[in-house]
Amino acid sequence: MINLSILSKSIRTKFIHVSRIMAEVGPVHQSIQKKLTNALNPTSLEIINESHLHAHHQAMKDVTSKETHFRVSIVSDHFEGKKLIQRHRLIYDLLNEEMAASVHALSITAKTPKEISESN
Amino acid sequence: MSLRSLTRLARPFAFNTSLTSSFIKNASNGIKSPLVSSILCRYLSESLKKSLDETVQKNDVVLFMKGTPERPQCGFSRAVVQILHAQGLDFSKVQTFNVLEDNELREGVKEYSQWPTVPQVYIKGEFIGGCDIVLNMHQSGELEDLLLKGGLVEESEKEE
Repeated sequence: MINLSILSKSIRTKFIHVSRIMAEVGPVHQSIQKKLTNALNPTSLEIINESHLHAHHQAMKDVTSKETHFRVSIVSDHFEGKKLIQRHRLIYDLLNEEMAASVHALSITAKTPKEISESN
Repeated sequence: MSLRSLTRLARPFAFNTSLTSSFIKNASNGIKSPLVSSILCRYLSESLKKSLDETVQKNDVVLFMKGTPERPQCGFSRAVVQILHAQGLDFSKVQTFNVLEDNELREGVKEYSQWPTVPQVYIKGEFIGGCDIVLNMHQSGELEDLLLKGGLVEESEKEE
């Protein structure tokens, strides 16, 4: 455990804030993870909750959920032969309950393992 | 919702009706999964669907966004506006709708496009996608090709 008392108060507050954001994996986050993993068998899946970046937006007025904006980076063989729009639709269809309920924005990077190895 | 109320919401940009013949099948005719339909089929009335059909057919570029091009209310909407500007697109050819001003439109357009988020871009009657896809097409050059093909931007001088 890091001794926080040596840090100044403002840095300490920021540190605690950031670690809370990083530690928080809410039910929507978990559900996205589970559904994408089960359906697409990804070789890589990263889900980042970016809701705090958008909390002040006008569109988020009256919204209390802390799980409104996500960034998903996913690598899966299921995207092979599919255009970008089809890949996005596939993900949106899998997550239609989450999208309808609380998620306002889902930023998607969807690649195939082949595309990843080619870009390296 | 009538077309009149829909156009009242629209920015006061000129309608360009000369290219309606090149209407391409729009996204709402795509395959729907039963679950998506059951969850989302609550907002899209027949009259709104008809208005949206006409709007995306009559306009070269239609952008459904949060806020206005001058004052976007969401970073994703802002990014799409910036990309369209970067492409050199004349915004008098872009019909924009601020979905924050109309909840029926906000929810209805999601079902219409079978796409759960805003912003949404239509070019020549065809659903293009949201911010990620527009950005991706901008980077790959696909967007420029599409706009050039549609006569919406002029070819820039190629650098050596």
